[in-house]
Amino acid sequence: MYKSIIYKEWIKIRWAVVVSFVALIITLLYVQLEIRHYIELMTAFTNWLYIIQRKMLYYEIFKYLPLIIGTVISMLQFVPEMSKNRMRLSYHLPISEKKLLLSMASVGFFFLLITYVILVTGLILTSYIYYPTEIVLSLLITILPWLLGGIAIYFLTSTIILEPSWTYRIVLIIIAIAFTRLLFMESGYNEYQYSIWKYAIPVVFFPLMIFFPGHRFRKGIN
Amino acid sequence: MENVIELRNLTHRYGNKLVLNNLNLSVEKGRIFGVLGKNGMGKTTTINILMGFLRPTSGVCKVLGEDSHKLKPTTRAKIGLLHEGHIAYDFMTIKQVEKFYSNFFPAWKREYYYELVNKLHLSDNHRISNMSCGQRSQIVLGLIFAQDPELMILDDYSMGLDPGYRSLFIDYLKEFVSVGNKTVLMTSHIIPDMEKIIDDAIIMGHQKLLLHTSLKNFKETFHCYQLKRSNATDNLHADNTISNIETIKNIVNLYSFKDSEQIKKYLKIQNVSINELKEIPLGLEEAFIGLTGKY
Repeated sequence: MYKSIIYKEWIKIRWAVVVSFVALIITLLYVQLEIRHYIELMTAFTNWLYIIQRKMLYYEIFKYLPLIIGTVISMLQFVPEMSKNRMRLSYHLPISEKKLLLSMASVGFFFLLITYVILVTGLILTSYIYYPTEIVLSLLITILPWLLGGIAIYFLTSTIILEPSWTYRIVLIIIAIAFTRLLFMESGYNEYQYSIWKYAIPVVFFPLMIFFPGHRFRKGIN
Repeated sequence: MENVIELRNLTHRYGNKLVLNNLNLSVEKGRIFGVLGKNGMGKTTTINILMGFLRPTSGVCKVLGEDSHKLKPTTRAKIGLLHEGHIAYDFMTIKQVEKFYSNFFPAWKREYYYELVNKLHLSDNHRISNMSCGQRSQIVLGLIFAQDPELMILDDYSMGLDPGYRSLFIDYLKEFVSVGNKTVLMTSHIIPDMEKIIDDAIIMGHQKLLLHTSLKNFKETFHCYQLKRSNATDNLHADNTISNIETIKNIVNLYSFKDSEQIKKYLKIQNVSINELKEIPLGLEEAFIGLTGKY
């Protein structure tokens, strides 16, 4: 059963996954070339000045990538299910709707995590070539809210798409925009260092939200 | 006889609009039921409640002994659903969709699926989204057959199908249910097609069940009597004897469950001349329109 669910989800998102991986690798190469460009043409001192004094995030190009990937994967998974009432087919499968939705979302979440692994590993390796450990560690803390934003938007978008009632959908859209906006307000390094856990707590509960529209759709409570 | 579907005092409202009012219905195992009704009579609402996608305002809807909106996964495996418009996973190919469903049903019979699908002469890698409605209907029916369900609920199976595909659909369905022990509840607006396959007719009127009987009984007991229009016929109206009256220019058609002797007696009491009274043979479609009216 679960093999079949993974299979179907993979059919829906496979091209997006391939495109995401390729885009990530190209962007990582671009970042590396840009660092080299700065160091060789503008000297290491100027580069250092930009990074430390002017708080230039040399990996800022990745800022909205988790958000985009999370939204795209969620849409590719759940829009085809909801259009033409196709979700009725899935809800009639001999599996509880909770298990069904959780396994569907797990597939998307898993691929989102793989993109994160590629992104973080790529950024660490690239950074270690040119910068000291402190910069690399601060990178991890700085991008953490972006990664969290990608996870939040994946589950929130999925819930919004699955939601049969427009009233609830609008409320969820407002929550999604407001919450993710809070995670992208930094203007330098480590700004969320002491507050990130506060944002992480609601994100832990977002996967559970997916059950409510599913439950209401299946039980005919609109 | 075991009941596969049981509706008791089923009532449903959309806001203030009452759609179903105390509907009672039992569907016995092993028969093919046709749900007939004009648009807006609550057919789709009833089907949605049966499929568990709509919770009734009040009353009970049991499918295979369980509340339709609380069906266990094991019970769902025994029910084959065909959704209006032949909904399918369009983003999959012929092969992929079979592979997907096969893991959900232990008694999956892939040969049933491919028997139907091979008639389409399409490659296994053909995407469902690139198929015509007729071709898609074969895919959906093939998947339901491969599931080998005890109960099939087919909502407007004929929608978008040309006569060829409709006929093919009916032929395969007939053959599939001939092995016995299968119950089918189907809706369609193509009544002559339904006549070829159904055992029982369930006719829905405004907010209520008009009739639930075997097709044979309905055709034998429901009559159309024709006579010339007169002042006396203009005073006739539907009552316990006359189910419906249709007047077209000088011709009056009376539809009734009473036999000709009873009708003659009734008309005499109403001072209607019965000199030119004649009975008109009815097919299911004419009988259905006669019972429910044209408007």
